[in-house]
Amino acid sequence: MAKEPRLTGFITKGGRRVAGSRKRDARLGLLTDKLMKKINDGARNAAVQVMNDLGKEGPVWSGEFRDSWIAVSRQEGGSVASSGSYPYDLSNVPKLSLEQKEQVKKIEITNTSKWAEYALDLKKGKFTPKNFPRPKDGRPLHPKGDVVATGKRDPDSLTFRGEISGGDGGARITAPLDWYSTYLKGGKFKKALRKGLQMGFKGKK
Amino acid sequence: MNYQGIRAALENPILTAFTNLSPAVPVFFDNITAAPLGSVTEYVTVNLTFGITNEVTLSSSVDHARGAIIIRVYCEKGKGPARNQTLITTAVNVIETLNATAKTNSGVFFRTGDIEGPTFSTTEDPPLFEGRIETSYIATVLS
Repeated sequence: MAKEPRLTGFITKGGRRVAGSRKRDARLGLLTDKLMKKINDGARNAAVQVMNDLGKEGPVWSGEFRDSWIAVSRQEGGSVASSGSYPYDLSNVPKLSLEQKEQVKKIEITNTSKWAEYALDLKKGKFTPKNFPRPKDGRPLHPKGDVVATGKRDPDSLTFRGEISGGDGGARITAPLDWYSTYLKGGKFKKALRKGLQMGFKGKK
Repeated sequence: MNYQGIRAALENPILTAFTNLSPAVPVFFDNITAAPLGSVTEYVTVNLTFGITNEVTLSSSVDHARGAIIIRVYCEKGKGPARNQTLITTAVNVIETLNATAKTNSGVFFRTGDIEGPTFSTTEDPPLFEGRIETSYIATVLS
C-alpha cells in the first residue's frame, strides 16, 4: 500500500509542533483526494459535535433555540444541508467539495432563532411574564429544559437572559449566564473539534 | 480541585484594583445578592465560569481547569466611551499582571488567552452604557 504523503505541518514523536500551511500542502500536491475526504469528514463530524454541544449547553425553554442551529458551507457554490433539530446528525451538515483544497474555514455554524442574541447572553431584554414566556404565542409556561437557577429579575430595566439575582423570585433560567462564552473558551469547543476530526480520520460516521 | 482558589486568584486582584480607584467602583461577582438592579451609577460585573476541569495533565499532582472570564463595565450613557475604556483598562491591567506572574511552587498558576473586546453596547436603558471584554483562562492549582 502506498504511503500517504507527509504534510508540511506535523507533530514529532517528541511532541514538537512543526508549522505548516494548507496553502503550501496544496501547492506541493500533498492533499490527495483521499486525504481531503478525511479532512472534510473530520470537519463535518466536528460540526455535528459542536451543534449537539451547543444544543446541550444552551437554554431550552420552548426548544426553538436549541433546534435552530444550522451548518452552512463556506465553500464557493457549497451545498446546503437540511436544517434539523437537536440532536443533530451528519445530514444536517453540508457535504464538502474535494476541490478548494486551500480553504481552511469550511463550515459556519449559526443559530437562526429570532431569540438567538438573547439566548447567547449578547443582548439584554425584558424577560418578564408579560414578554416571556408567552403561552398564547405557543411558548410554554414552563421550560422544556432543566432549570439551573431561580431568582429575581429587575422588572423595570433590561437584563441579560441569564442575569438573575439570588433569593426568592419566580425567574428561571435553563442555562447559566455566559454559557456560550464558557463553551467557546472553556475547552469544550476545542474538545468537540478534536473529537470530530478524530472520528473523520478513523472513518466513523 | 480548588475552585475557590482559582476564583480568588482572579477576583481578589480585580476587586482590589477597582476599590483602589478614586472614587471606588463597585464590583459584583457571581451569586452576589446585592446585584445592581436598576443601578444608575457605574459598576462592574465579573463572571468567571468553569469549562473543562480536572483535565489530564502530564503530572497527576496538579489540578487543572479551563474557563472563561467575562467582565462588563457600566458607565454613564451619552458621555462618550472614555470613562468606560478607562475602567476596562483597569480590568485588562489585572489580567495582564496575572499573565506576567511567574510560576511558584504553591498557589494557583493563572494564564489567560487573548482578550476579546472591548465591545460596547448602546442599547442599554439610560443612564448606563456597557463595555465588555472576555477571555479564556487556564488555571493550575499547585498545592
